[in-house]
Amino acid sequence: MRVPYIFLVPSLLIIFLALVGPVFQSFLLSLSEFSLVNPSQTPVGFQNYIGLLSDSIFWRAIQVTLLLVFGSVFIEFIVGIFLGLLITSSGPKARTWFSSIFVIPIAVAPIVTGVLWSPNSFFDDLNTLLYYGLSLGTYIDTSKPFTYYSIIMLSDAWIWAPLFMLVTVAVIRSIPKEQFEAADVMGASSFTKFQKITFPAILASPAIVVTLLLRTADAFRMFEVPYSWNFWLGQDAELGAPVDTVSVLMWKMFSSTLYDFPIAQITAMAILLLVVTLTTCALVLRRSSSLMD
Amino acid sequence: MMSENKSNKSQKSNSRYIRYLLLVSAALWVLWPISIMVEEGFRVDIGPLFSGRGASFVGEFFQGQGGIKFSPIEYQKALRIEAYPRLLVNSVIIAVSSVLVAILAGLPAGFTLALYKFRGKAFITYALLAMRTISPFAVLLPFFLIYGRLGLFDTYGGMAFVYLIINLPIITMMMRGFFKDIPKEIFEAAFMSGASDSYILRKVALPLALPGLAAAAVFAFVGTWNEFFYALFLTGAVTKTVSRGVWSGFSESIESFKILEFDELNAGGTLAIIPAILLSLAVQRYLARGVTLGAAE
Repeated sequence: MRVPYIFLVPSLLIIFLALVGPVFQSFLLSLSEFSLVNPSQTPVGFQNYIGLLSDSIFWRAIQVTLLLVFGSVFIEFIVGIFLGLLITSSGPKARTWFSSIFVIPIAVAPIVTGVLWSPNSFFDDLNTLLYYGLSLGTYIDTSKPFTYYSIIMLSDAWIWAPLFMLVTVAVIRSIPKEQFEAADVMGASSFTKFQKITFPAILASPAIVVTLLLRTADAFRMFEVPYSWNFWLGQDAELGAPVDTVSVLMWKMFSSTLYDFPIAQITAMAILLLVVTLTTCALVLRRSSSLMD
Repeated sequence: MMSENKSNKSQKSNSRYIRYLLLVSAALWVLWPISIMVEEGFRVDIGPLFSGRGASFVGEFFQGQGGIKFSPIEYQKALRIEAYPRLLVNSVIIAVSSVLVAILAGLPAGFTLALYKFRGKAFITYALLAMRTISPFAVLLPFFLIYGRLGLFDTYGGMAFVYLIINLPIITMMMRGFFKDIPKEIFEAAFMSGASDSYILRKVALPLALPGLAAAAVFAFVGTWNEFFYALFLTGAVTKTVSRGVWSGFSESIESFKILEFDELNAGGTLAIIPAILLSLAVQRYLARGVTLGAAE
């Protein structure tokens, strides 16, 4: 059969104009000395990268990013699988209703999530209740690093745990019924069935692995929630603040007049992030059983 | 024998109660933050209930200054007085036009990816995956510079084009999945009859995948509606979208968040997520396919 290559032309055009071209230009920018203040482009090789790698603010942002990436992905993975198991073990009616409720956060704009989980919103009523309502004399102090890092991870998990739930439900549905029937014949308890059939099937499924990889790649560009926390914590003016992920750091350098718009350094950071993205996407393509068939 | 049976039964109903308890607490975890936003939008705050004990500050953060009486004023303000409706219209214009272009380009590409094996297939799939996953900063600065030069900054066309980065991968890869769901025999019969590719796409594949196309379009629309990052950098007074507006204020000139108008922020946020939630619930069967581009199947 002849492949209708003409069908691919519009998409390829967009891929080159919106992705390949800009990325290539970003890479060129990152190899030069360039800023909006001083727009003459002089090539400086990898100096921007070397400068970044010896910059403590950048390392700090990397640490924060890694902490938030692995923290949030871990929480949403665990919570998502738990929700998936809960949903599949419920009756059909409860399943429909509760899975509809659980997927709602996926539809909520990430920036709104930053507002939802803010000290002024979520922790306002909660703290009033704890402190005055229940007269406990205690409250959740959102200005403590441990607290706000946890909240950022929890709010990311709030959005994305339902995705793991959906994938888990699909994986459990795809387990052949004969396996459970055979287990029933042998008199296995429901816990044994879970331990020997369901759980290994979930962990071994390429779908779960691919979802984990994609979520990790997504979390590396985490922006909206940490960005909003910069405001809640009143740190929107300082570089290298405690909740600066790499993306937030780039935003600060770009949007503040204090730093002379160091476009070359920002693009160098973006290219370093891009390496993570491209590697993860390659792993996704390799591990996914459905993308290339 | 009887008693054993009984205890077995009560154990079963016990585990059912525990399951419902877990389901309800999970639902509470999902809905609680949203309900707070809705109520803050109504200027409802439980603080004054305890005002005798001086509840306005807990910890270092300012607490809402509302009462326990519902007041729709912020919602009315958002919809009538302020520039909020304009933001909704902007978002709709940008999202719809971007999704339409993505459909025109992505539909045939998804068809080809679903039905054929060819050299370069891995490249296109990989590029779409990377496009979906890329950090916006890796493309943002070139867009910023080029848009400044071409006068595309803060224009509907420019924004619709930027959002192809989100929409093209979604439409192409979701449609690829929907075309793959169609039984192979149908296509085989169509090819045997000697019909051309474009005829098969229009007359055979598309009618069968039409519900899928609707789902993909809705999913892409919601993604564009919710997008904040590109909107933050590339929109201005003309094309400011709703997700940027709910953060930085409804009026045109205000750039930064104003803490005194927290109620307004919450009212705007509530209005912005209602359509997104309703649309997403309509396509919830395909949410996983949309988010992972069909990689997790």
